[in-house]
Amino acid sequence: MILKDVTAKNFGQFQDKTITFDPGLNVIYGENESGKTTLHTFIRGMLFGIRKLRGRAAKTDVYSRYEPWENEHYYAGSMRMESGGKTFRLSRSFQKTKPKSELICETDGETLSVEHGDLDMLLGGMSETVYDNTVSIGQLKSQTDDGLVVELRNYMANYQGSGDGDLNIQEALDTLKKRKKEQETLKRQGEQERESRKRELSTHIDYIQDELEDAKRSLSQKQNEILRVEAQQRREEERRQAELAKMQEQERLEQQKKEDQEQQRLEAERQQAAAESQRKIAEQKVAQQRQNAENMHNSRRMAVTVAIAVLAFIGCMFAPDMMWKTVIIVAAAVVILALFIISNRKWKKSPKSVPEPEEETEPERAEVETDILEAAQKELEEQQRLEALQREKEEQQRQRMLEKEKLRWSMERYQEDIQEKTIQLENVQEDYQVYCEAEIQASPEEEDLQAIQMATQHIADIAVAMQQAIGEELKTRMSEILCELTEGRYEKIQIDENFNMGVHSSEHYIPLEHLSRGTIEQVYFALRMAVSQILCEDEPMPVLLDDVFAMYDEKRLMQALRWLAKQKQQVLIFTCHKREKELLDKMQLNYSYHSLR
Amino acid sequence: MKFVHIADVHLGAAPDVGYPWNETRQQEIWDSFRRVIDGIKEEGADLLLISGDLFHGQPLVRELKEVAYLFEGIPGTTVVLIAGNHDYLKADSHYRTFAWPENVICLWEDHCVSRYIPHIYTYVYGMSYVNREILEPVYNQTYDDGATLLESEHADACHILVAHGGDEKHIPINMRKLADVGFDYIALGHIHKPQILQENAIAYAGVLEPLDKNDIGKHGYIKGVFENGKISAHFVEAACRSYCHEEIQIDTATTQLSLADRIRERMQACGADNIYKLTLTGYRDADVTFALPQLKTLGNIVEIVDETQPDYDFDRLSEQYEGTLIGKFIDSFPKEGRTRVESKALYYGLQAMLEAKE
Repeated sequence: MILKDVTAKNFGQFQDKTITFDPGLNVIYGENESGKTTLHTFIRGMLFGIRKLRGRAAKTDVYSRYEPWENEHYYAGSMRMESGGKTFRLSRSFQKTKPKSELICETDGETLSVEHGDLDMLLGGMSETVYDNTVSIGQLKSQTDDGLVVELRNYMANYQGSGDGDLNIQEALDTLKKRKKEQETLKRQGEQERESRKRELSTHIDYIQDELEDAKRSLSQKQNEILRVEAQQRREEERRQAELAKMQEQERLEQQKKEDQEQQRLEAERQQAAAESQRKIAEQKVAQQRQNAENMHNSRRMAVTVAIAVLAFIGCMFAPDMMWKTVIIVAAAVVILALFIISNRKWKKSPKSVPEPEEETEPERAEVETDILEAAQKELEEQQRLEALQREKEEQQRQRMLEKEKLRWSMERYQEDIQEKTIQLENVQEDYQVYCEAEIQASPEEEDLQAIQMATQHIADIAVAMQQAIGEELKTRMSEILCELTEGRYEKIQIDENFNMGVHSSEHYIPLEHLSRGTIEQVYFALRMAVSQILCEDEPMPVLLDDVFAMYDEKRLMQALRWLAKQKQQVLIFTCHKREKELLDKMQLNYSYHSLR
Repeated sequence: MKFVHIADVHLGAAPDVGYPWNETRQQEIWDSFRRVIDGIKEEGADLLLISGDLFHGQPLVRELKEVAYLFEGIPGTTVVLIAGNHDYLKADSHYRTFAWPENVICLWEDHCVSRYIPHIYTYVYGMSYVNREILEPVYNQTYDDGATLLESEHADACHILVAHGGDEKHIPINMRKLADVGFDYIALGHIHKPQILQENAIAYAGVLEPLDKNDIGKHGYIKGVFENGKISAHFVEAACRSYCHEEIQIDTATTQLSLADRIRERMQACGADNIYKLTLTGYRDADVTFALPQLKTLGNIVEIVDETQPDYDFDRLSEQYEGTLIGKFIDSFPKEGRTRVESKALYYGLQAMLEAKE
């Protein structure tokens, strides 16, 4: 495609400005602020339209920048170009409310449609960004040599992966990584929040469970207590029974004793009666015996007296003197007297030892009366004790009943409590389950994470594919162009996988870092030209060079101009210097010259 | 004969676990139920129909005592009770053994039965759930038996069916057939949204108090009267609060703080007591992302869905970057009918790449 002429009707500082281009080399000269950039932008705007951006970007967008201050309805222009031997006329109105474009083939008068892609056909499918990377070439921006190398390398790397030297793929991928981290943090926070809610619910469950356990424990405690009370009741009953038995036994013994006493009394009476009669008989006997005994006693006494008298007589016979005879006689007399006294007393005493029943009757009767009274008293006491026992029994039973009643009542309460708690527990557990099920669905960040993953994957895949497609050919073309530009001084460009670049001369390999700024600019120029050739193979596009040669020395500039003059495509050199014109004149190359303003 | 029809009270439910209003809502459900009874006390009603799910789960005895106490307070009103799928009659359900006041009729049978209430000249029909789910269309029985069922000695009495369910797993109901049986009124429960399926004849009372963010709109009960052989019934709003779904339109000028102000204003305008689910729509500035967790603390907000899209003109971008990574990236997604993940992937990728362009 060749640009024939452009007419800016009302665009920035241009009012009805027409510039006509040659098919070959064109030098557009203008001092600063003379409208070089405006012309540049206008050509771009004609080819791709200028749309007002939405939002914040609108304030600084191209549309606003070149929008005329007056007569804005007339924000428009036209352009004529040649492609495939035919001439086309493209006119546009940029006005935002109703942008209009018209494409007419002047050669055969056919009206074409921009909307339907006829212009795209003319441009060989070139997009705005591709245009920026091929047709429109500016100079490297970096001021330092190091920065220049980095910039060139980045452009190379970016271009190979994205077809767009300005797009830093690594940075884009890093941004996505950052987004991913942000989403993961959000997700974690959400999870923690939901987790704490779940904990709240499960704490509630635990709480009810504990209460339930407590109630169950209390219930079994009460059950044990009831057993204990029942045991106690049994023990008390047993004790009472034992006591009762003991009392009955005692009573029986008492009775027995009474009966025995009665028996004994009767027996005694009977014996007494018998004894009485025996006594009478005995008395008679005694009287008789006493008579006998007295008789015998007397005779025995007589004998003893005689014996003593005899003894005393004998004693007197043998006694030496009178004194001893007297003593013996007196002693014998005393002994005989003593014998008499003793035997008399013995006899007198014996009848007194037999008791006289008649004398004892009075005190015995009194004793019997006391016994009866005592017995009655005892009976009464017994009665009272029994009654007390009975009362105690009733009291205890009542007490135990009450106790058991109370226990049963509290057991019932616990049982009810357990039932309630069980139901409550089930209800809460169900709530918990419902919450957990709902939670499975709820993770809004998951979607974002998936999306970020997907975006990363797409970008990486496309970049790899583009690098494979562009890489090798780009290197070849660049080497060719550089070789021509340097008239064989540098033969080949080398780029490794880390985009470290260098050039081969016939003898040496020189890394980019060691090249002069001028040579680096040449490498860059070669790169841009190579890109342009690759992307615009079907339809060679005009090349717009915007102050590209500012840093070139005269020799390099001559080489570049010579190379450009040989190219098939149209070349538009925008410059604020007169060097280009002078050198072209000097080299006697064909070109057309346009001076702005 | 005046009647009140309520359903799905869900006593004992505690909506929105983990949100600050969780406990308040649990109480409000009881309060609302009590207010219905108070209303009956004041205005009088012959019949209180409770179409199932009075309780959120299995009723506790102490809860039943509370309810019984309230019923005792309206001795002139006959209360008709059935068990729904939430408070279904489990084997050991206290429903079965509880001693109800005299004015309460419990239809605990697992098949449709009828009871005649002589002093108001009314037949009530109904049955209860003994399981969480009932897949059989049990009310079909009334289609067939309907004619005989309604052939009573009191031919011009009022006939009311109290029913619960109507979806696939909870007794599917063929409403048209049921309508043809000849009931004067069908008091339905189970569906949370109140709806009058047939004017003055068939109605879902809906939940008395909304239970979750999907129960949007007005909630309350149905009040009706049977006069001269005709029913007239209407919905009465009674819930303490509503769940509101509000859409907030975003544009490229919207910032986090301006959005917070707009949300506050919107909630103020729609009722600060209500509980909100907010959806953000529209085109946001491509550089802005809204911090939703902060926004959620502005009021009773259960959920915020961000459906905003960054302000990208895809056609334009696709055109502009054709042949380069960005262009190919846009083209790697379907032009139309993108899934949510795909849309988001497109935004994320574009944003990252445009940011990375100097």
